[in-house]
Amino acid sequence: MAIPLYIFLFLYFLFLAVFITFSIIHVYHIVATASLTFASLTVTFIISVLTVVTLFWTIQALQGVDFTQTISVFGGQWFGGGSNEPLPFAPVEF
Amino acid sequence: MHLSGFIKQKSYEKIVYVLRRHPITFVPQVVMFVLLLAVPVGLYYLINSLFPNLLAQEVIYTLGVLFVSMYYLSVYLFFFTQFIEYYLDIWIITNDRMVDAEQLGLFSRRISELDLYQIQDVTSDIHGIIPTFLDYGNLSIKTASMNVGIIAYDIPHPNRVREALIRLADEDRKHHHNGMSPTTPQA
Repeated sequence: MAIPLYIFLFLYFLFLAVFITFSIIHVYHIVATASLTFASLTVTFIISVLTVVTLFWTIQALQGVDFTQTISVFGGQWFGGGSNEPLPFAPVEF
Repeated sequence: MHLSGFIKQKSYEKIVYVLRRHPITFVPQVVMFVLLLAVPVGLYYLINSLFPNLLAQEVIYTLGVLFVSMYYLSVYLFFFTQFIEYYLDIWIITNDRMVDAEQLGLFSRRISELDLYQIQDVTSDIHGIIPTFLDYGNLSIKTASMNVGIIAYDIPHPNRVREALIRLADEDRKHHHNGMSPTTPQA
């Protein structure tokens, strides 16, 4: 059974939607409770900057990745069957 | 929203104290946040040393990037939630009443208030080395009613606030015992 890589990208986007929703809720809480002060603005700014940096790093790291390739969930070599598919990791030599 | 709108400030009312927890009580959450940020870095070096060719595979690398990105965003969200729970605990003392707004969770908030003239007992507690040196602790306010009482947790200068609260309660009690509200013009 093979899963295309873009499924994980969709899951990531779903997670991003949840993240943005909760972030908006947090900012709403700060504003609605008259807690918009230097301290809360500073923390909000730091979190925003870290979020932007993380998203930027993610985009940069995933540049050129072919998301149409598939991941094999069950491979024949797992049960000793004949398969030319490489193992998911390189064996460690002691 | 301004603080006056939050407590529905009356025309004769003046905000005397706006109290939040002492910033030192948030330091453990900050330390936890920094440690959680370092976890993927440590894992990266560990995996690189144990399985040098693992991250060279495009599929594993892509999944790793997505997972680490989700992890970091989750940590930011978790830290922001902790900050909300810390910072939105607020105690507002006016010349007429005391308002206690506590954020119990992201979707749980408790607000209670009591009139100053009903205050019967005010107790300040400072326990521990760090609270003693930094002068922060709890303030318990009790009224005659069994059900109504407010505890302000980890506020700065609780002794100073206690003295001010007793003075304000006495002044408010004088207004009520004389049959006057702060809006009633004096003879």
